[in-house]
Amino acid sequence: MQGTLDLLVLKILALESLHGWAISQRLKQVSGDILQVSDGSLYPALHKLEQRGWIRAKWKPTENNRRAKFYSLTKRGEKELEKETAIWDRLSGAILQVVQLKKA
Amino acid sequence: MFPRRWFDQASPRFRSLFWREQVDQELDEELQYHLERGTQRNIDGGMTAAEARRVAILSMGGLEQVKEECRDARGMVRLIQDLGQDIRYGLRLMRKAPVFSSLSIVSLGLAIGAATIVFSLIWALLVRPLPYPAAQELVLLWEEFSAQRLEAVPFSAPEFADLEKQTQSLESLAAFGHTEFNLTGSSAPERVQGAEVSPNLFSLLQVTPIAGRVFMPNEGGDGVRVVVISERLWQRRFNSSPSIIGSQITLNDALHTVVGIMPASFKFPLPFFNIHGQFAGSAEIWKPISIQRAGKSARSARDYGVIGRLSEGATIQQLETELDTLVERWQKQYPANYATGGFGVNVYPLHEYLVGKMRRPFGILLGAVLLVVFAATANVTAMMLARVGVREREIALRTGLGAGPLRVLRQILTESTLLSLGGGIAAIILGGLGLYLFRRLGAQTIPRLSEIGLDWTVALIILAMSCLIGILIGLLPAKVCVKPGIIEVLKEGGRGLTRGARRVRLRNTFVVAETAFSIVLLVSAGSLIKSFARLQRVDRGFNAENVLTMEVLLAPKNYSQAEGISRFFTSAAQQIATIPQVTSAAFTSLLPLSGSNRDASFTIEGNNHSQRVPRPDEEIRMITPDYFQVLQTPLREGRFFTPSDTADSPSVVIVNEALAQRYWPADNALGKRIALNNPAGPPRWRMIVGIVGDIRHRGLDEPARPEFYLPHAQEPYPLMVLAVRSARISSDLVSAIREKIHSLNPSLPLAKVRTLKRIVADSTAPRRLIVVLVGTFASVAVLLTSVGFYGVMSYLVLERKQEIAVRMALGAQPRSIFWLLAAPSFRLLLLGTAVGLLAAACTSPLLIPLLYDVAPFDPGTVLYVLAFLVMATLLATYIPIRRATRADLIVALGHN
Repeated sequence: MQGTLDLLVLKILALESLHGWAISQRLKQVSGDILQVSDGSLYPALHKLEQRGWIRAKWKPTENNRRAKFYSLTKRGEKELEKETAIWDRLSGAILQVVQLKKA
Repeated sequence: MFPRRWFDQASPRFRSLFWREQVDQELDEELQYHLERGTQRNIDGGMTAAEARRVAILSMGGLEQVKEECRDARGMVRLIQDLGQDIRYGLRLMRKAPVFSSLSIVSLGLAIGAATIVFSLIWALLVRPLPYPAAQELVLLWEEFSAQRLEAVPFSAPEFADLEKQTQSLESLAAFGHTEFNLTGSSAPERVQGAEVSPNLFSLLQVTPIAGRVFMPNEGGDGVRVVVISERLWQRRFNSSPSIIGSQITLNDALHTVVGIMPASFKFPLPFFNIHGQFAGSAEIWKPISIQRAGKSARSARDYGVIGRLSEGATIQQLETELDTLVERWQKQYPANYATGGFGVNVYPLHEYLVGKMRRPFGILLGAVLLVVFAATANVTAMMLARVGVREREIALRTGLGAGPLRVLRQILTESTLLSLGGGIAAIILGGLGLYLFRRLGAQTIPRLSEIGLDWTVALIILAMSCLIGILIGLLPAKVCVKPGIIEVLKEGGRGLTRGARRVRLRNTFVVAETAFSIVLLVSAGSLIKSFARLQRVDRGFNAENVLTMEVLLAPKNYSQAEGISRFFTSAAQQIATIPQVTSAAFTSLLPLSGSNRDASFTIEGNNHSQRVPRPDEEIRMITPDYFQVLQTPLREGRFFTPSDTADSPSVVIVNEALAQRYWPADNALGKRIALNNPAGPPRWRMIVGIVGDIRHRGLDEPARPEFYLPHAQEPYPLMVLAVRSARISSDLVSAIREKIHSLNPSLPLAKVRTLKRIVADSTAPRRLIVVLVGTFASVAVLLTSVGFYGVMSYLVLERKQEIAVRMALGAQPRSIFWLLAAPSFRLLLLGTAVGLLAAACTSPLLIPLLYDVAPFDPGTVLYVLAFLVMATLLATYIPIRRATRADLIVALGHN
């Protein structure tokens, strides 16, 4: 769904600052392989969010001492996450109500 | 581009705009890291190294594609970067095809340059606001006597007094009249143009002086000697001295106090507020008049223009109703003055008065220049189509390598816009140059032309127009090459014949259109040129060769007696005639074609004039005896004036054939008597002693009007024009004449020293301007069409090179090959000509007001035009074919 990936990425980055590989692993881990996010679409999404100023990137040494680009949430990203979460809640709530309709 | 240390602080947007390579490098590193981790995990899962890497890449969906998508994520920035790339690429292509690029730029430059000139003219003359605040409230009033075909007739003082009292919808109104001053004093005497104006004129126009004050409301009348001068005069004559305010200057031998200085930007009257064509130059001295006092003068002495400002909320219709009431009252009250049929008072909003007369000529110029722009656009589109054809494979390859159709479209549009912007810049340079030439050639003769320059607004309009044209030019070629499947093009090999055919058809359409545009322009230019030539040969009634003219104004103070005036001019003419190279010399109150005219009403002896039969009113001139010898106007009957026609001898008059014909159609006018209308005294009868040929006075294109001439000795007049016929005209002659005049009166300046030939040429200046412009436009169009044909032929020849070589190898004659190749070109020419002639036949009636003695769709002109165009296109067709038939056979066969 449009914007879902953005929401997931923002949420993951809200917890901690991560590099691309780690984000992709975290995505797979938390969604239990249900949400098939291809690595191909992750990076364009990251770059888009960076352009918008919702996340910022910094080169830092990794756990195995290589240089990697770590992303973290900005102030604007936090606000955006709140907004998106609220929208998502409403939307999923509404959908849930519809799919749980029973025959009268 | 920027120092590395700024990179880390820059926002991602700026980063990717200015440090593009670094950003790409980082992107690469980031993805590489991801790949390494992926590969590592796969290896850990038991794959071989190569296998592991392949799977990792696959799971990303292709490395390059991801990079592209990441770049796309940059949005706006991406667009700008692509544009930069397109521009660089476009410029490189332009450099690689210099002939194509320069032909395109020159075509567009010429066409848009022509547009620049026309736009600048229209901008300066028609659109730009008038130099008065709230000018939309200003109106001009003129009388009209339609029975005598007299428009824009000024008002007399009593009439102005009535207007002032009886127009409620005018907040205020002011009269203005033409006057000239002999400015004498410390430096050389000088004639200065001036205006007599109502004291309230400046407040009516809402203008303020840069120094001093304007006139007080009651500051009018003969006793008051105050003037306002222009900034230019102040600088030129008085060295910008601040003490000029309050000091006295000598005008017409009387002392006047300067009370104020108007800024250089203030111009009044504008040249087109013409009263008898007198305001050709701009006024530099303003003097108050007292209309109240002048109210006692004759109702028929119409010397004042009237300008008014509408009251708040008042409409032109209200004013017209008030004026109609006034006209009725006048006709009842003074039947003798307004008896001539079709008397009325007209209101002209100031801007409308200016624009109205120029609308048609400028409409035609605009139409002509648009045709040129269309022709150039068609031309460059045709060339672009050919270019795209050559590049078809390259474009197909680019599409194959991942460039989307939009990307290709953008690339081609960028190229075409670059070309047309180049054309636009060339146009601004060419147009600026053209305008400079214009100012040099015609500034004195066409109102407001001196104010024309390249305006920022016009330059911006031109650049915007160039961009638009660029997009138009690129659209069709882009569509042609975006559409086809890649495979199709690549499969067709080097010679895209089937698809080429479609492109060629499109190109041919443009060449036909160009030809048609050229024909319309050529026919118009041809008829205008023919009109102009006919006008030069028209019998104007005088010989302008070797005649020098200048104006002499006697100040009233020293020559208040009629006798003195008459004596001065008689002896001046005699003195000047003694100069060795001078054959004859005379003075006249008005020269033909000088733009001014003066009429007077008279009574014919024996005719009873009543309300139903108005008194005649015709053109009047005062002349000294040798005038007709100087002009070489033929005597038809009777005699010329002689020195023995003096104030004391019997009163005489000479009339022209037109006047004799109008009033004595069946009878001989010689010996008949007329008298000028003079309400003050008994009629002074003057006998017609001579009949002379007609002189075209108002314009070469206007038939001569009835005129009558009085001997200056019997009707003295202070402002006279000297006309001298001489073996040759040199500056020695001018100084010899000045010497003679100064020996009679050293303080008299000579003004407007011009040859009669110059006066004749100036009288046709606006017409010449249009002829030159439309002629130039037509030439440009023909040039463009030739280029179009040349392009078609070159392309055709290139395509059939092998065929030609084979035919020649088999013994075909160059001539038969020429016809073979030229046939399609002739078909285009024929089609274009047919369309063009049809269009010209439809549009040419628009030209009628500008034509003289030439039918709008003149067969002779059309034939010339066709011959000209056929020659030009034949040449353009011939050159590439000749090159092809001469080409080395082996080289040609080896082509491809």
